[in-house]
Amino acid sequence: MHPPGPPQAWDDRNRIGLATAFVETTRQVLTAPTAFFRSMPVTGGVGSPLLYAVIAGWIGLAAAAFYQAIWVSIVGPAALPFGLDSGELGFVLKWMESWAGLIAQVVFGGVSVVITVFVGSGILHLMLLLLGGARRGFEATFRVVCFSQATTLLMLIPLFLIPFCGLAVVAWCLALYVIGLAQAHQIGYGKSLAAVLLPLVALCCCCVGLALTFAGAIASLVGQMP
Amino acid sequence: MSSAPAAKPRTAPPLRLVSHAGPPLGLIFASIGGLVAIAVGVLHLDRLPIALCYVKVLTGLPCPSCGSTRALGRLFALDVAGAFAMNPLATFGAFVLAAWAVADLALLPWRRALGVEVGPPLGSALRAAAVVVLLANWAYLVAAGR
Repeated sequence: MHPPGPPQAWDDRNRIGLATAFVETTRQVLTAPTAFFRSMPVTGGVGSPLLYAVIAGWIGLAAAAFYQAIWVSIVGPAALPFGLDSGELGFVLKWMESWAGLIAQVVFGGVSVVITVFVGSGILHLMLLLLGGARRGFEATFRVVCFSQATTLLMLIPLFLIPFCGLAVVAWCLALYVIGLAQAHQIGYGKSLAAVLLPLVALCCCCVGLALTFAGAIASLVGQMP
Repeated sequence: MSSAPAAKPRTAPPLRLVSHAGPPLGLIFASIGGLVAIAVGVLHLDRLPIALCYVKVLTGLPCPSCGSTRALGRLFALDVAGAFAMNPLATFGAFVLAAWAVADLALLPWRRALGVEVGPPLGSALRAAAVVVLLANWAYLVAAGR
C-alpha cells in the first residue's frame, strides 16, 4: 500500500492557490519525478489530474501553434507529401497552418489534450495488463500520464531553433512515464520500460492511436489484473 | 444427533461485472472513438495515397494495428463485414466498447460505471489468451496483405 504522505501541491491548490500549485507541481515532476510519483495518491478521481494535464498541455499546444504560425509566415507553408495536397485532408492541413488554424488549435487544444491523455493512458494500461504490471487500477496510470504533461510546457521554448530539442522533450516525457508507472504501480523499471516502449516498437503511429483507443479502453474496464 | 452441514466457503467468481463509483470510462472512450470515426469518415483518412505505417514502410509487412483506420472507415459507412475484413480485432474492440458505453449510459443516473473484476487464476489465462488473439489477428493481417 502507498503510505499516506503529505498532500501534494496540486491536491492542496485550494489553500495555496492554483498558480502556485501548478508551478510547484511542475517543478516537482520535472526535477524530482521519482519522489513525486512515489508520494502521488493513486485514487481520488480523474478530475484533478486531468485539470493539471489540460492546463499544462494547453499552454504547450498554444505555444507550439504560435511558433508554427510565425515559422509559416516567415518561410511559407510546408510542402505536403505527395497526394496529401488535395482533397478534404489537404484543405484541413493547409488551413491548420494558417492564423485561423492557429486560433482553432488554441480554442480546441484542451479537447485534444483530454483525448490524448485518455488514449495514452489506455494504451499504457493495456500494456501493463499484458505484462502483468497493472498492480493498481487505471487511475494510477492515468495520473502518471496527466502529470507527465508537465514536459509539454517545454514547448514554450522555441524548439525549432534548437536541433533535436523536440526529440529530447519526447524522450523526457517517456522517461517520466517509465518512472511514474514503476512508482505508481510499484513494479520494476524493466516492466514499466517495456510497457512504454512496446507500443512504440511494435505498432505504427498511424494506427496505434485508433486501434488502441478501443483496446486501451477495454483495458481500463478491467482496471487491474492479478 | 444431527449436525448442520458445514457451510461451503464462498469463492468469488473468476470474472465479475461490477458497478463502481468511478468515471464512466466506457462512455468517454466511446465518445473519443466516435469523434475519430467522424474524422476518418469526413476526411477520408482511410484512403490516404501514402502509407503512414513505418513498420510497413520498413519491412513491407503490416503492423498488428494496420487496417484499423480502414476498419473504422467501413464502420462509418455501416459496412460491418468490410470492417471485420480490414482488422477483426479492432472491429471486435469497437463493438465491445459500444456495449460498454451503453452500460455506462444506463448506470449514469446512479453515478455509477461498469467495471470488471478478474480473479487471480483467470488473470494469467486472460493474459495468455490476449497474446494469442493479438498474434492470430496479426497473422491474419499479414496473410490478407493489409
